[in-house]
Amino acid sequence: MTSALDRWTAVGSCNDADAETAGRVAATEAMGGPDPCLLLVFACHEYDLEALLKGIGGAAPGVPLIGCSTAGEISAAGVQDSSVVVVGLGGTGLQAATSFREGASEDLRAAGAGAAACLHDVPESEHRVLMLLTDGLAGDQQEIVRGAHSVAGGGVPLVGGCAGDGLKMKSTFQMHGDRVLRNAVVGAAISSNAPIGVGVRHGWRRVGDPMLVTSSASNRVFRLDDQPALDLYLDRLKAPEDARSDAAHFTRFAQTHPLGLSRRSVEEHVRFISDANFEDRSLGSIAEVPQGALVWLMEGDDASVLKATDAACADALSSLDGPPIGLIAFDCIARRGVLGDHGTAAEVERVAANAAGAPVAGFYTYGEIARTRGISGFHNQTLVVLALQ
Amino acid sequence: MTEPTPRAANWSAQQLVEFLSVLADCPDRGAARQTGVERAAEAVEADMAALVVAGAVVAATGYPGDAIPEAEIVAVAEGATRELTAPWGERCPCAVVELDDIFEARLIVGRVGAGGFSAEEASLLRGMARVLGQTLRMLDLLDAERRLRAEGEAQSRENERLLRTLQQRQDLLERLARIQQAIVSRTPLGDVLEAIVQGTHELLEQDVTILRLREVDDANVLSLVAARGFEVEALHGIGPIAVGEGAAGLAVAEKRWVMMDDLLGDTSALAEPSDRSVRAAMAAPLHENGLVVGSLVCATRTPGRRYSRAERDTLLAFAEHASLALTDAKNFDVAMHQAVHDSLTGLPNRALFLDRLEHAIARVPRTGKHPSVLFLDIDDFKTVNDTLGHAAGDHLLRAASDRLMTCIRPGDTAARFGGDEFAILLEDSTGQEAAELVAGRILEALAQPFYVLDNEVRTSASIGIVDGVGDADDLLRNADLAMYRAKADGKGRCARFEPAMHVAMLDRMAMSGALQHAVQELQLRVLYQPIVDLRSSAIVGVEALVRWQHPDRGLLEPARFMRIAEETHAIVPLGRWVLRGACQQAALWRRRFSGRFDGSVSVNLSAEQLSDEGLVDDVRGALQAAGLRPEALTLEITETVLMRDTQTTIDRLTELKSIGVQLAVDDFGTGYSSLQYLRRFPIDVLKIAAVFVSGIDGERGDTTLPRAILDLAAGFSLSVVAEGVETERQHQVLTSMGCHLGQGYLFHRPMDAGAIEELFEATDPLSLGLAN
Repeated sequence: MTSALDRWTAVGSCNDADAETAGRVAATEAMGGPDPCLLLVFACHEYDLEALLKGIGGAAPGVPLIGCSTAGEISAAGVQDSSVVVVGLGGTGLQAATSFREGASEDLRAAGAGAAACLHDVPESEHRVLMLLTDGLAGDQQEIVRGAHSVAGGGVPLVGGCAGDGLKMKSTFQMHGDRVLRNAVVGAAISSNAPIGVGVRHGWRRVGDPMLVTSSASNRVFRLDDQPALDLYLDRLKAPEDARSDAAHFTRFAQTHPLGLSRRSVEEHVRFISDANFEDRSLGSIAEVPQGALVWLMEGDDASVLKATDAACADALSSLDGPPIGLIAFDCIARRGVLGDHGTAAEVERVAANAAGAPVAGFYTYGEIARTRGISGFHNQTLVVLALQ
Repeated sequence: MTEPTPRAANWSAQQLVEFLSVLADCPDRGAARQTGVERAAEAVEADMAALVVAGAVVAATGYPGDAIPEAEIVAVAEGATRELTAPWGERCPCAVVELDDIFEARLIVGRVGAGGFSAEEASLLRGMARVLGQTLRMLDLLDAERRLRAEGEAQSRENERLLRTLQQRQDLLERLARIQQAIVSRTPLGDVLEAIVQGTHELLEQDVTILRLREVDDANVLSLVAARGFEVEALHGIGPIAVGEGAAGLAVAEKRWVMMDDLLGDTSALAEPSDRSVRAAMAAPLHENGLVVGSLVCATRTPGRRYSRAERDTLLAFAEHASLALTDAKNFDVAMHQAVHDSLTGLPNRALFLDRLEHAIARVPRTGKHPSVLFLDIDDFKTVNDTLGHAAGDHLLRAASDRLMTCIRPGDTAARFGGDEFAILLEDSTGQEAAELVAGRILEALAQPFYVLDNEVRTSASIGIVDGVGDADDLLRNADLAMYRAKADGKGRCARFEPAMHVAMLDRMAMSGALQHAVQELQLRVLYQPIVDLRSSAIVGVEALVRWQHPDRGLLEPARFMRIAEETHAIVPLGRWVLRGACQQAALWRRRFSGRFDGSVSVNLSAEQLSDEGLVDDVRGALQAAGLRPEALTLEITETVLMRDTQTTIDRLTELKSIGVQLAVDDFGTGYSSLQYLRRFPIDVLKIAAVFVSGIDGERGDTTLPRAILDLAAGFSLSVVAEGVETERQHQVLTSMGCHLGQGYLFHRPMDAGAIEELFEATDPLSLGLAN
């Protein structure tokens, strides 16, 4: 027999300017029951993260921990930008283990595989999930997913997101135990005696005709329909003048204008455009845009993005056979751009409504991971929801 | 769940481009194996995939790293079983494709869920396997080269060969990438196939390379599509070959890769029949949607030349790409064709017809030749659909369109516009006569009986003709108007457009509008023409005849408005109104003039009324409302309506007969048929058409037909009424032949009810008694 009493989640958050204090306060709140097995930490990149971890360690000594810096922290209270959110998981029905690999950009695949190694340290239960928190600026994230998948196999869903730095796009942090890491992938394997669900939706729609990627290399797109990619992108979207020459303006504009990559039988994969090279007229994406692929320009609005929120929650909850004990959201920063403050608050309310009273936490990411079928599992511009029962 | 996204038409080509570019970046064999397996799985969104070489799993994906079920995967690779087990226990169907038969390398891909892999996916996986095989082979060579270098014993010649091979690998991959790009960007098929032949020729350094495809009208013949290694003039000398002939023919016949050496002196076994100096050749079959449609052959004139495995695989890689291009082009063509053709008849549809017509009009200033447009409508097509069913209707349309095609020249266009409407474009028509000639041929062809689902169906068509002055829409509208005129003139004929038809059309529209109100506004009147006993001239019945008192045009005969009434479906309420009025009138007279008038009233039924399901109820209702005995009502149907000879007509008439009313055939003798249908219908009265009655007065004094009708009627015990009796001579002849009833100006014109009543009042009841 399993019961919700076997398993618990709890969320703590704090926006105290002092990192150690904030960590301690949030972690104390997150210790919501007996036998804690895992802490997830989502924190503003501007904190002194070592001090933050010290504060958490003081409140929850010896509990395995993974975490990362974000582009906004999510809790039932809403979205904050200078705070820390700590999620505690525990109970006799839940078991967890963690691992990490540094130097991700040198070998993305190995980093994914290394972060997945913790799967060997939890029981081979029917209900397992591997959570990955990665450095989204390290390179092709699908390679990290492939590496993790090579260890986990098709039977274990992958979920997670890329760390953020408040849209500075310079440097992100990952956390493991009491260590603050860069250019790393951290992983947590969770094994439960009750079902676990994963949902992913983007809420974008195609604009105009498809384009062929006629030249690209990994994350850079050089030519679309045999024209300079940047020019075609700006012209087809009728981009404003300042986005045509200024990198910061461009990044803001591109946030709400991703590319959609044609897939066989599922929603197109959305590719977030992160930067433009005004010299060689190429576009940068956070994940691979393969040469020869068919892509669409995409657009979204409040309504379509919020619709996807409900759909992602519903997908995640549909795998459960009872009420959830917690929902964890990995939400793309670009969705925040589309929704604005008001819409973002509405989105968190919707997730909370789907949680039906269970704790809700998460963070705004530079890319999301959700793999339940096949190998492809890296997403952009999506909301990924992990539901624990 | 997400909605399935429609796959781009050239999806496989895209995937292959992606696959190729990723493999090209792999530094070594291990990376290429793993990448190949993963990317193949990703491309078809599979759950598991593995590469088996010589009985061992060398790369896999979808399994936990430490739990690859090697025995099961190898069993699938060897064909011992057809299913894989997913890590979570579910069984799934899989695809197995061969990379290479040297090492027995196979790619296995499994996907959970029903249905397995589509033909397109299977074809993509074969292409991927081929490219992966090539890559692995070349990487082996690269490894060998590295080893040699490391050992410091590298011989310069060997190194040079290896480097050259490596260069060839690069060349091959680049060429394949270009070909894939060409397919993706819809480069014309001919150009893609030329590029494939060129690539094969150069990369394999052959003397002769030929791509052949099956002839459209003779699948046993393979024609040249592209070739290299011949002088331009010599190309004309390369004839078609038969399936089975030479290496190219054998590859098609046996659906597999073949290699042939020349057997000296045996010309039947020439590797390449087009070039007798060829010493060896190899050929690979080409597929279109899975069917073998041709082959790619390369040949050498160097005696003793043998082909290596690598060369064979190169040829196969090019052949796979040609298959991809052929399939893609075919699917695109089919889609394009479907968009502009009528699915039932295969003829162009309205959109394509308009496009061709516009082109023809645009060419007029250059050629000076005006196109002609024929607009055709099958007469009474609806009756076929209604009585024999839609399957028969479809059958008739297909048969009619086949006949249409035999009547026009190859450069002309026949299109179906939907329903029973067709249009024909005669390009550079050589004048009016030519268009009318074609129209005449079509009318004749369509007048021949059709045999539709065991029924003989006779039909006709009406054709409007217009010459090419004006824009396409004008021409079509005018041709349509002319067709309308042809139909109005009596069906089965053609009419040429005249500007006056516009006026006529407006007139018709005005009439039809006015007719809608005529019934409500009491503009319709019923006149009655007495039917008399020819011996006593006593009135034994009256025929009700409708007239339209048009506010502007005066009193109109039925000929002026009945067709419009039929076309606008005003005929049914109009007919019902006449029926009820006539029954009321007859009942009134029979009461008021009892002893003077005990006869019946005749009411005409149109074809449209006869096919109206409410008719029998209408008749019953009219009789009851008027209190008229059924036998005092005679319903008249024209012979042409009867001649449709359908089960519905028979059923409807039988039902009417069962009420007790009399049934008469109007205008008898004008149709061609005779005894055949009289047996089938419950008829009481034949009315000899006026045209035969007037013939009695003619120079020849022709009495043959009236006599034949009277004999016939006697044989079937039917009454006969002679119509249109105008002269005393006609009266006498008819009486002498035994015809007892008649109507016509000789006795009484049609008159209003008041005038009829005066007649009755003037009648001496005793005279009636004498006559009977």
